[in-house]
Amino acid sequence: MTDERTLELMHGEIDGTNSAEESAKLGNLLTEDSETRDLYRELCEIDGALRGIEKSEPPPGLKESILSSVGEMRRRAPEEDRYFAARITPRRISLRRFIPARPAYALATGILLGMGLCAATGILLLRADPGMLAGSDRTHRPYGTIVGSDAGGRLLNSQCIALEFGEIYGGACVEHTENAVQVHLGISSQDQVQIIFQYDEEVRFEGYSALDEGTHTIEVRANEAELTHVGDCDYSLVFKDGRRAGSPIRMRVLHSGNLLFEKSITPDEG
Amino acid sequence: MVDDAVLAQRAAKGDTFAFESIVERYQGMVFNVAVGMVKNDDDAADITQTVFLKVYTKLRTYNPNYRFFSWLYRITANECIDHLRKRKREAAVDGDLWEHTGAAWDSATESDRSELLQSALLRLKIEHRIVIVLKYFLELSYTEISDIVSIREKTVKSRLFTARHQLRDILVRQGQAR
Repeated sequence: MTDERTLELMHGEIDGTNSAEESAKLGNLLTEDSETRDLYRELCEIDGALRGIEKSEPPPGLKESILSSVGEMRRRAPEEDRYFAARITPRRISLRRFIPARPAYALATGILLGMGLCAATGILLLRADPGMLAGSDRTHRPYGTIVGSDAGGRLLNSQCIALEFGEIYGGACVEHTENAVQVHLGISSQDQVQIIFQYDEEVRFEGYSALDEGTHTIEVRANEAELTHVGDCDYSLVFKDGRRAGSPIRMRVLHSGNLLFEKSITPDEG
Repeated sequence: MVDDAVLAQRAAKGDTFAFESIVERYQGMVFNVAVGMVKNDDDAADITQTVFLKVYTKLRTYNPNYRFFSWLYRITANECIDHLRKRKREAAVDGDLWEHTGAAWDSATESDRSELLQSALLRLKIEHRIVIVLKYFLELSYTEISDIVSIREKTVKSRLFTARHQLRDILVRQGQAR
C-alpha cells in the first residue's frame, strides 16, 4: 500500500513541482518497491494520455452563429447597442450642438453645417470617378445618393473578417448581393495603412462613405480601389457588379509596404 | 496582438469587431473545455454559443484589472456545470467503457486510449473533472485554475491528485478486471 506522502511525491513529479530533493526521494522509493513503481508508471501513462488528447476544432460556422445570436440580441435591444444597425445604415450625426440660438442664423448655419458635415464625413455616397478622392481635404464631389442596404439587390452572402495586427486593428464585413458588393470596414491605426480592393472587369467602384472623422484618401484605378487611412474610422464601400452572380473581391492590407493581410472574398464562402 | 482587456473594453462600448476578435481568439479553447466536460460536440457547441452570449451581456461588468481569460473560463466552467446538472449526463455513462473500443487500457492504441480517457472523464465528479480539463486541455497552472474555479491552490492540487488517481482506477483496474 502506497502512503500519502509517496502519492504526493508522485503527483508532484508528474506536475513538475518537486524539488530536487523530493525527486531523489521518489527515485529511491521507486527503486525499492515494485508496487509503487507500477502505480507511478500507470499515473504517468494517464498523464501522458491526458496531455495527448487531441484538441477538437470548433464546428464550422460556430463563430458566425455566435455573432448572429449576438446581433439578434442587439436588435432586440437597440438602445443598448446600435453597432449592428450602423453596419447597414450610415451613422447619423446630430447637428443640434452646432446650431446657434437665433432661428434665422440657426437655419442658415444648420443647412451649411449639414452640407459641410455630410461632405466631410461622407454620409452621402460619393460617386467615384477614377482618380483621387480625399476624405480630409474635401475635394471630392458628393452626388447625394445615400448608400443603403437596397443598393445591391438580393443578398447572396455576407461574411465578416477580423483584422488584427498589433496596434492596427478592426474588421470588415463583405456583403455580396445580386448586383453589388458592399464592404463595411472599421479600422483603427495610428500609422498609415493601405486597404486595397481588387476586382474583376465586370465590377466597378461605385462610391463610399466614411462614418467617422479620420484622415483618409481613396484612389481608384482600373480594377482597384486603394483606401489610405490613419486614425479610427468606419467605412462603407460599394462596388457595382455587372456579373449578377457575385464577383470575388480581393482585399489586401498593407502597412509600410508590408503585406499584413490578403484574402479573396467570394460569394460562395462563409 | 491587442490585449484581451483592451478588446473587452472596446467590445463593451459596442465595437463588434472587437467582440469578433474575442470570439475568434477564444472559441476554440471554450469549445475544448466544453468537449472535455460533456464529451459531446453538439452540446459543446451550444455551450460555447451560450458562453459568448453571456460574455457579451456581461462585458460591461468585466473588470480589466483582472485577467480576461480567467473571467471567460469562469463563465465557461459555470456554464458547463449548469449544463451537466441539468442533463444529469453522468447517470447516462455508467455503461462499460470498453464496449466502445474493445480494448483494455494496457493494450489499447493511442487513439483508443484517448477515447477511453475522455469517456472515463465523464465518470469523475464535476469538481474533479473541471480541474483536469483546465489543467490538460488548457494547460493552466495551479494558480490560474485556482483563480478560475475560486478555490485555493492547495485544493486544486489535491483535486488534481484525486482526479488522476480516480482515472487510473477507472481505466487501469477496470481494464485489467475485464
